[in-house]
Amino acid sequence: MYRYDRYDHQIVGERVAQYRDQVRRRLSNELTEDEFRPLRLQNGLYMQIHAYMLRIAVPYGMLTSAQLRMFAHIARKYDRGYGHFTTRQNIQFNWLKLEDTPAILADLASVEMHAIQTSGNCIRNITSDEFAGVAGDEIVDPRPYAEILRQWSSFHPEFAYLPRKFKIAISGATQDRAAIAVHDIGLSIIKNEQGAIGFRVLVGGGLGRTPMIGSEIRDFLPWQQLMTYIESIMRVYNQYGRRDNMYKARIKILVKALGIEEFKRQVETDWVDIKDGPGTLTVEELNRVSAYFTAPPYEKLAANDAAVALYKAENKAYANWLQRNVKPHKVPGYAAVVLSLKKTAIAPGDASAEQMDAAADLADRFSFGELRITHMQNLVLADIKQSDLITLWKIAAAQGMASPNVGLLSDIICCLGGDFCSLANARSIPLAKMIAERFESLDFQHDIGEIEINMSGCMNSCGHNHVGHIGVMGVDKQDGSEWYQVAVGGDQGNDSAIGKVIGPSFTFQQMPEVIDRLLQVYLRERIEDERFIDTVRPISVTPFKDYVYATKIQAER
Amino acid sequence: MMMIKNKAVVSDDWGVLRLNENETPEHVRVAAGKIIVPLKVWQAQRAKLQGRVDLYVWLNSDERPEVLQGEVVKFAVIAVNFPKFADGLWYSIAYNLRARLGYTGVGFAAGHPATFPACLMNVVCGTACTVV
Repeated sequence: MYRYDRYDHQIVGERVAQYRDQVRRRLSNELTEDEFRPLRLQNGLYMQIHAYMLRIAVPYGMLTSAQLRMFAHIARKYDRGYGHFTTRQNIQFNWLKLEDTPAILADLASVEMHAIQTSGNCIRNITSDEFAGVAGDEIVDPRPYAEILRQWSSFHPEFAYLPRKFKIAISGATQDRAAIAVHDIGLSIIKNEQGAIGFRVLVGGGLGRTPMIGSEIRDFLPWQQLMTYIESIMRVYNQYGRRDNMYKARIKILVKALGIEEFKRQVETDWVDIKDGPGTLTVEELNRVSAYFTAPPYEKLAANDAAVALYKAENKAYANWLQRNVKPHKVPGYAAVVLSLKKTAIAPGDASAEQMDAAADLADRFSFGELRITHMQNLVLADIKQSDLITLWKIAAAQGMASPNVGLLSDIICCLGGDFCSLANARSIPLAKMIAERFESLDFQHDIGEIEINMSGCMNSCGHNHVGHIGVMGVDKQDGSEWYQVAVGGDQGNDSAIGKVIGPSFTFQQMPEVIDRLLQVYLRERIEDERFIDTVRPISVTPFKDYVYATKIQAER
Repeated sequence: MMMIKNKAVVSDDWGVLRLNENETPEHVRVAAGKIIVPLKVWQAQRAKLQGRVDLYVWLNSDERPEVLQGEVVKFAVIAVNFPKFADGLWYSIAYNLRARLGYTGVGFAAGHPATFPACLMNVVCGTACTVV
């Protein structure tokens, strides 16, 4: 886990002091809202429908138990007792008062956290794989590189006012769990035939109004050249990205306009001068940062714990949880546990202060004091001894964090939507709750198997609807009602794809039947127990579209 | 017009030439004394202006400094017009001026000072002044 040095402490401390004075001047009206707005956005503070929302940076999703306890404290003292984990591995608090925000930032600084560069046209949180460092298919731990990128991008003077926001994701495993194909820059760590470490670099992926899969700009970039190459990508974007229209200002628009070959030519022209220059990553620097991410003191254990196997045979609920929420670990005798924040009737990705404290306790007791936030809005305890699983499960279940639904239908990715967000066309959370309740039956969910349903309240797609196996997006039909467009066949990871819209939109009340009909087609067409997405790919959207629209859907009461 | 360097006003007798609607780069009269002229005026009246010592150039947001390749050494000062403070394009242009065109003079930003992050310009571009 990275720890602040004196420079980090100083700069964050100075930022807190500066912000405190800015708030004071806003509250006394020395600053107008227009003048204050860019200043508060520099500290991740948004004005939403009901209150202020603060987005706190959680670098590549990693948290200490102390940090999570501070989130619980903030939830209790300043918010309504809960926080929301986001699709970029951050946390948001939705019910804040402006006058409390300086104290909140000071509290965060005391546990080495901030809200810098979580808003605005700058480089945002570097996100990564929630199983970094422990996954069986890991090639190289991405976290040292993610931390190097974080340090490099924080307060970078040349790229502080980009045409638009910029998001980078990095994966270090064979399977991409960081959605790199739909990021402005996506990085995949690989080894070439000689065993040298480098990056496959994707550029121009993204969601929102114009979803696109990233284009490969480099199939192998030696690791030493990571910083200089990204610098050149940023410089070309900073100079030539559109600034006349905020809806056409992301790098994906530039890459599409120029074509990847021309874009690459411009990047590599810029790169010629700085490649091998002072920006080259050295072994010393990589080692310095890697030292923060060494393996914890694992015990030498047998590969499988007998007690676990026995209990699994006796207890169906535990067996379900084991199957869905517990993931393999590269060290024998260990496992990674996903704490599901997708309990029925709870907003996806929300955790109460009590749950946060409980998760922090579990981390201290069972997982070397650390946790991860996943971009699918759950929490991970990455280093659990298999012999601790049963005890952990009981505690997690008592706290409502053990719904055995990871990767299943009710493990929905969902934005905040119309209840909170001023950008939304429609509510998303109530829809997610309704769908989760409708298909609550675990037997049914297990029969359906792995499926990713992603929901967003508008085109901004913060809920990643475009890469959902089923994607739901709130649309504006200018009649004051809530309408939802449904797409099928999207996917994240190695087979990333943008979903195809099946047809005209549906009302809120029609949606459960729509989902049901989609699932009926899947059950009818699937070969053996293949996943939903594997059924969709060869047969395409047409059978789904035909069945859903075959007869009028009555609104559900 | 004031020149601010290191938070102090160092000079306030600089003129900035901006073209009116009916003026053209070729024919506009460039006053005597310390003055900063638009790039197009420099290019159009180069023969007449190049002997002058206290004459500098300013670039607008849609102009590239690369057109001054080979000439940058002439200018102790190149100014950039930042009408909108959140337009970060110029940070990269200033970087290129320094790193690639070998510019070692003073770069400064002419624009609204109240919200201008001059500190950032200093760091990356080596600019030392903000012009009001």
